[in-house]
This record gives sequence, C-alpha cells and structure tokens, in this order.
Amino acid sequence: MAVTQPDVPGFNLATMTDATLVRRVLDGDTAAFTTLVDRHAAACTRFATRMLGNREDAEDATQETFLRAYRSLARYEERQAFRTWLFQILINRCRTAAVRRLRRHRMFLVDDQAIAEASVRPVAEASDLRAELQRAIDALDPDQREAFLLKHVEQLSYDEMAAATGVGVSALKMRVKRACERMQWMLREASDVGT
Amino acid sequence: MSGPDEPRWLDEIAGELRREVPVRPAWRARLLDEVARAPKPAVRREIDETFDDRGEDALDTARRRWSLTVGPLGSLAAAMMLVALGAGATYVAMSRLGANASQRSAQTSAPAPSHLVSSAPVSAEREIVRFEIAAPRASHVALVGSFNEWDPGATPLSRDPATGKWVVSLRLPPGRHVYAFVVDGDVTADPSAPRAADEDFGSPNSVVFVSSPRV
Amino acid sequence: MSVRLLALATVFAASVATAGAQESDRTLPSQLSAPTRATLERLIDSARVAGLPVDPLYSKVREGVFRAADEPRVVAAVQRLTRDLGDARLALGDGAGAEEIAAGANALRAGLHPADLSRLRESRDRRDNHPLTVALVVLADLATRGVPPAMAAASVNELVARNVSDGSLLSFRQNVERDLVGGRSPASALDARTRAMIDDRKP
Repeated sequence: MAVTQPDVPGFNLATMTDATLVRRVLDGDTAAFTTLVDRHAAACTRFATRMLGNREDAEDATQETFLRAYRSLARYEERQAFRTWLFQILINRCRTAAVRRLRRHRMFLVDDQAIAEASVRPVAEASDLRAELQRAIDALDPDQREAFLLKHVEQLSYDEMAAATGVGVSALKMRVKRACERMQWMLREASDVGT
Repeated sequence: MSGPDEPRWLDEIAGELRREVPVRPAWRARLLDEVARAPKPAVRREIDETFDDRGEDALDTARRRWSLTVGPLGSLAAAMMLVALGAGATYVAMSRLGANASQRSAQTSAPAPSHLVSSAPVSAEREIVRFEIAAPRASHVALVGSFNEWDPGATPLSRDPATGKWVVSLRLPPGRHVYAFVVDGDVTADPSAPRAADEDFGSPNSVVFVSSPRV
Repeated sequence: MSVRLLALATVFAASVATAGAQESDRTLPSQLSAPTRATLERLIDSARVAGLPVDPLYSKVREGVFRAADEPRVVAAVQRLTRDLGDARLALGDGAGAEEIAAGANALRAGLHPADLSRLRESRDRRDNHPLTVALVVLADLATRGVPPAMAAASVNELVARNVSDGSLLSFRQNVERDLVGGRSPASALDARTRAMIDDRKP
C-alpha cells in the first residue's frame, strides 16, 4: 500500500517524532526511514568510531545496524526511545565486529615472529587532544569503553543504557566510574609528557 | 551541554569528545540504496530470528545431561548472609537489605556472625576482605596480588593476638583478584581459597572474588 | 554509624588498608630490560586492539617480576594468557565482561574446553545475565584439584542452570574440596554435593 506525501501545508517529515516516522515506514513510506537515518546516523557513527577505533569498521557496523533496524522495524515498541532501540542493535554489531576482529587476530598471536615484528603504536606527536582522547579511549577495557561512551558521549540515561546493553544499572555505574578514573589518569599522563 | 554533576576535566574535553562525526555522503547513499532494494519491513510482529543473534557462529550446543532425579525446584529464600571464602579470606558484605534482596550476593560466614544488616553501605565501590593464614613460626608475612601490583612490601600482615594467626583486612574493588602469601620469603597459596590454575612462575596462586554491592 | 557497624569495625584487629587506591598501574616495571619491555608492549597492544582486557596481562608481568622469573618466561606467560583470554572471549560471547573473560581464561588453562564455557553461557538464565565469573573460578579450582574437567563442567553447569547463587557455588566448591581431601573420589564427591545443592533448593 503506497502512501504518498500529501500536499498539505505543515506536513514535514522533519518535525515528526521518531515513533511517528516508524509508523509511516511500516505503512509504506520509505522516505520516512531516510529521515530516521539522517537523524541518528551521525550519533551511531560517532559511537561506533570511538568504540571500534577506526572509521571503516564503524561505518560497516552502522550500516548493518540500520539495515537490521529496517528489517525488524515492526519490533520497535514506542514506549522506548527509538535511539535507545537503535543503539541496542548498534552495540551488538560493535561487539560482534570486535569478536570478528579478534578471530582474525588469533592467527597473529600464534606467530611469534609476527609478534616480534609488529610495529609499536607510535607515540602521539604533538599533544593533539583528538589523538590523545582516542588513544585514551582505546586503552579502556571494552566494557568500560562502551559504558563511558554511552554515558558521556551519547549521553544516555542509565536506564536507557541498561536497556541497550543488557547490563544492570549498578554494574554500568561502576564501569563508567572506573572508565572516568582511567581516562583522567591517562589524560593527565599525556599532558605531563611532551611539550 | 554538560550536566551539573560532571567533573571539570570532563567539561574540558566534552566538546572534543562529543564532536559530531560527519556521515559520508557515499556511505549514506549506499545505505539508502540497500534499504530501497530490501523487502519492506514486516508489518505484523513476526519473530525475526536474524535479529536476535548475539554472536556470529552457532557454537556447538550439544548438552551433556547430568542425570539426577530431582524433585521440583523451590525458590531460594531471599536473605542476606555472609560467607567465608575459605578460612583464608572472609568477605563481609555491608549492603542494603532491600525489597528485592537477591540471593545472588548472599554469602554465609563460618567464623563471623551470620547476619549483618546495615542501613546503608559503608563503601559504594569497595568491600572489606579479611585475609588470614596460620604460620606460627613465621617472623614476617605479606600479601601479594593483582590488587597491589605484586609488591611484597605493600601489604604486610600482623599477628592477631587472639588467634595467633597472621591477618590483614583490605578494601578491594568488586571482581576477581589473584593473590598469594609470602611467608618469610616463601610464596604460598592460601590453603583454603579457590586456586588459580596457572602456575606460570612455579607455584599456584589463590583467588578471591568480591561481589558488587547491591545499590 | 549503627552499633552493628561499630561492632564490626572492632572485629578487625589490623587496620584496614586500601588496596589498589589508584587505578592499576599500566606501566611495565623498569626491572625488565628494554627489549623485553618493547616485546611486551607490542603483545599487550595487540591484545588491546583485539578488544581483550589488558589488566590481567599487566598483572601477569608484575607477578613475574615479583617472582624473579627470567624474562623469556615472563613473555611466554603473557603470550599464553593472551591466547587464553582470546579463546575465553570467543567462548563466552560478545557480552562477556572483563572479569568473566579473565576467569574464563583461567578455566581454560585448568583444562576446561571452550565448549564447556559456551555451554555455561547458554545455561545461564537470559533474563538474569549474572556474570559467570564465580562459576568459572569454581571450575578452574576443581579442575586444578584433580577433578576431571568435563565432570566438573557438567556439575557446575547444572548449578548455573538452576540459578544457584555465587555464595552457594563457593560453598559447593569448599565442600567438594573437603570431600576430596577426605579421600572421596571426584565423581562421588561431585555427585553428592551437586545433589545436595539442588535438593537444598526444594521447598
């Protein structure tokens, strides 16, 4: 059943709520999905880039996320924020991407020669905040990194984080706290070193 | 956009941290292309098995059944108790007893009082763990482990006059910690604690698990 | 502070120290030679990139230095642990936390099979999602004490499937250990103690 955009003044996809847009997509209006993509892709890419440490993996994960979201849009329940639901998918995609990367990496670990020849991570040149920040985030354990990014970059509430990660609120608070402690320590170290 | 409860250092980096990562037009085009070619999402709520995957592989799921004849399971009585992780380390949970006091962190203590209820946790992040070992002829005993960077000078024990045992109490963060005692220079595991499996450096270590406080 | 808390405070003869007051040290000890430190940095770095928890690796290095192990041995230990952490993470799945992975690595080292870890994960109540850390600690311990790993795994699996608490799992371990020390066979000890734990939960 095709749904056309009525020529009605005031009809504007950009002003519709996420829930409304989802309903429109399910009614057949794919343009509404484009609006959802435009609303949320940047945040997804940002989270995935920081989580996975590189742009390419992040784009793959985000792409997969939106495709899965599209396929299972009927499962979205409106009482949950759309972004939280979307992030639930994204977080799983990121975790899977890490495991996939880990499998590729296992071959590397077996080879002592390869280990010996592996290049050391280059020291950040100037105290470029951007590089230092990513370096600090990379150094976090994955579960802490995930929690830290959700809390302080994507600024989800703890309840939303719990829904998106499947982890309990008190465990998440602990992870965020430890992540903050470590980030603080690392950034302080970084600012002490060099000019 | 930073909240009032955010620390200053976070304020300083918040701008950079939350910097938008721009979406590449080529990436966007490819995605929308895929969406256009994909079948329309099912309107009825059907179980979409592809959505629920948590991992890439279907790992071997053959279950070995333990054949016991057991009756119907009852529910555990919900109670907060303390448990000694062996005689070596006594974990004391100082936790809030709430309406959904879960048996998850229920621990019972052998030597210490069996019930301890406080109205508020003493420490939100660390719990007090008591380590003890019987070494009547020793003159110096220390604790080494993952929590003190294996530094034999960091955590000496002292003799408890009442029992003659060497004791120390530490605040430890929740989680799994590996440790050993150094008794007059000899490294020894805690005889009554769970053992770590690796003996990379000649003798085994012990494990203590500190559970998260209920909040 | 309530009276009970005060009473507890006096139970401790020694003063309470705070361990790990700062975040765990992520520098490598200077006692190690520069080439060894470089090798370890590369190893740990690649583990980090692979998404593995690195705290256990730094801890392993410091343990090695404490025990005055020779440097190749320290490197070998870190390599081995990295492999075990990787295998544990694969077996326990993408939702596993750092503590679980570390405990899982140790269980693998004790002789458990990755499939045993995966099975534990499946047995765990989906709604609950409680970490398997303690179950894995118990498994590693039992296997270290001579219980055949597959047997220990089956037993602990039954308990995890029945939502047995961490405290009870640790009690179970203690009881089995006592039985083993008393001369009972692993099979008999496990059977009896598992049955007892399950029966205890009946109304």
